[in-house]
Amino acid sequence: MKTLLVVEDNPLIALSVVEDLREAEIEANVAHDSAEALRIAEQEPPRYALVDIDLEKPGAGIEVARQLTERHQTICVYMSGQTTGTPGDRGAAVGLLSKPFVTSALVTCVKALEHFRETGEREAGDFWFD
Amino acid sequence: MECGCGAVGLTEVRIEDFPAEAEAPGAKMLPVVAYAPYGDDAYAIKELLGGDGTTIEVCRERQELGRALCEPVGALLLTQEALTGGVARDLGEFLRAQEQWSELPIVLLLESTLQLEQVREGLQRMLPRAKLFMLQRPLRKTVLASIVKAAVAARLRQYAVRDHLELQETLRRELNHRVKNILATVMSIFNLTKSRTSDRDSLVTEFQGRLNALTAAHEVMFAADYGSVSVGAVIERALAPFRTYGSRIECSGPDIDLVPEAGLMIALSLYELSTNASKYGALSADGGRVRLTWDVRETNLVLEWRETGGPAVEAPTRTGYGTTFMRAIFAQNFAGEATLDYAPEGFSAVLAASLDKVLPKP
Repeated sequence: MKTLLVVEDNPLIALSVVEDLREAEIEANVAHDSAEALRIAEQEPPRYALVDIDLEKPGAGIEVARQLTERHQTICVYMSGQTTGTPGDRGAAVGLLSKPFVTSALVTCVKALEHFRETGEREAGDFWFD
Repeated sequence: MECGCGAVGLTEVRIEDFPAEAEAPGAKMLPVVAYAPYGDDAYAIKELLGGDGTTIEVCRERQELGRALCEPVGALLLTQEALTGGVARDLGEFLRAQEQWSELPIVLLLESTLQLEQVREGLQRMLPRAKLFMLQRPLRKTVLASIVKAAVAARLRQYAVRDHLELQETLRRELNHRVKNILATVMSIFNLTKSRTSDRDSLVTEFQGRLNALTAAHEVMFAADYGSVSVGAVIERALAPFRTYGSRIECSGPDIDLVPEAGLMIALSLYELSTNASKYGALSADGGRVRLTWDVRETNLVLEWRETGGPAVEAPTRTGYGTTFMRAIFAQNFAGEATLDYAPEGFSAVLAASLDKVLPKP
């Protein structure tokens, strides 16, 4: 059972993220659009999700994060080259992994989410929203 | 007339509180606000300017003026008597709070006894960042009308500048977004290449090759202004580095327009296929040939890459970058399939993508 869901429509980024995670012994499901993300989540409810903000259309990831959080209590972090300026843009996510990111930042983020879920504590990291 | 900023006095007025209708005001929609608190001035002004299509909005009280300035305004018309200390203070604050592009035109009707040269500086200080038109009474109706028209025209140009600045800011953000996405793609190509190469030299060669292919594909996207791209143009550019093989590479298919994403991914796939062919496949031996065809079959766009006449083919022992890449793209992003066949007499690949995913939406 995979506890992490990666939602990313850029195939190269999706491949690379999954591979980087696998090397760190973190298995993830991948969805390439909003509908697939919600479908996979029904079958295998994710504890965590990394969601690209811009899927089929700009901002579609915000709605995906909202639904994942609502239906499955998934802890979501956005992946984006945008910087979400206002709290209104943040929706249900707890943080933003700013693109482009290096492998270590990715792995640190996922491990911090695990820790956060178990203990409620936020380990140091610059991806958290305030 | 209630406005969004809930102002009771001018102090709370902000230009950014302009309502959505302010988007592209036409001359007709831009009223001239006349502040005339005394006597019959208001009617006189309406009389003077009405009837030539200009909308005049007369305000008799300070609060009313504050609210009127919350809306898009073509120009403000003021008489000398109306410009009391309080109004001047309110207006000054409003003018200072204007956005960079804004310079509210104010038409001032002054008494004939006033020496313009002496009051000009004082007025400009009192009403900073306003486009001041100072007129002395008595005044011919036609003169006032044409000055007001000029003021409104100047205001329209200011709105045009605002729209231009907004567009520029949107484009700037979009550029930032695109650059970051491209950098993220480059980072991913690097990661995927790195984990599949065992020595530094092949990492360098392979990464640079893929970066070149990405650059070439972007040239095609840029030429098409990131709109739809012709599959023929994508293929021609992707195979350009292999032109030295001349007629050994043969391409044919109908002209089909694709969404940029599909063009990019097809270009990157062709780079993998052609590089492989020149290293291990048909193009690595004299007389070997490649035939690339594409067409629409039922609901798919199908590209076929067939190699003949090369050295005997052996299936690789591990899955390389190109295979991983093409299988993932065509299955997951294009709802199709990449089928690679390592037949001993010649390698072939069939790349199928659902038309739903690759054709531009009408």
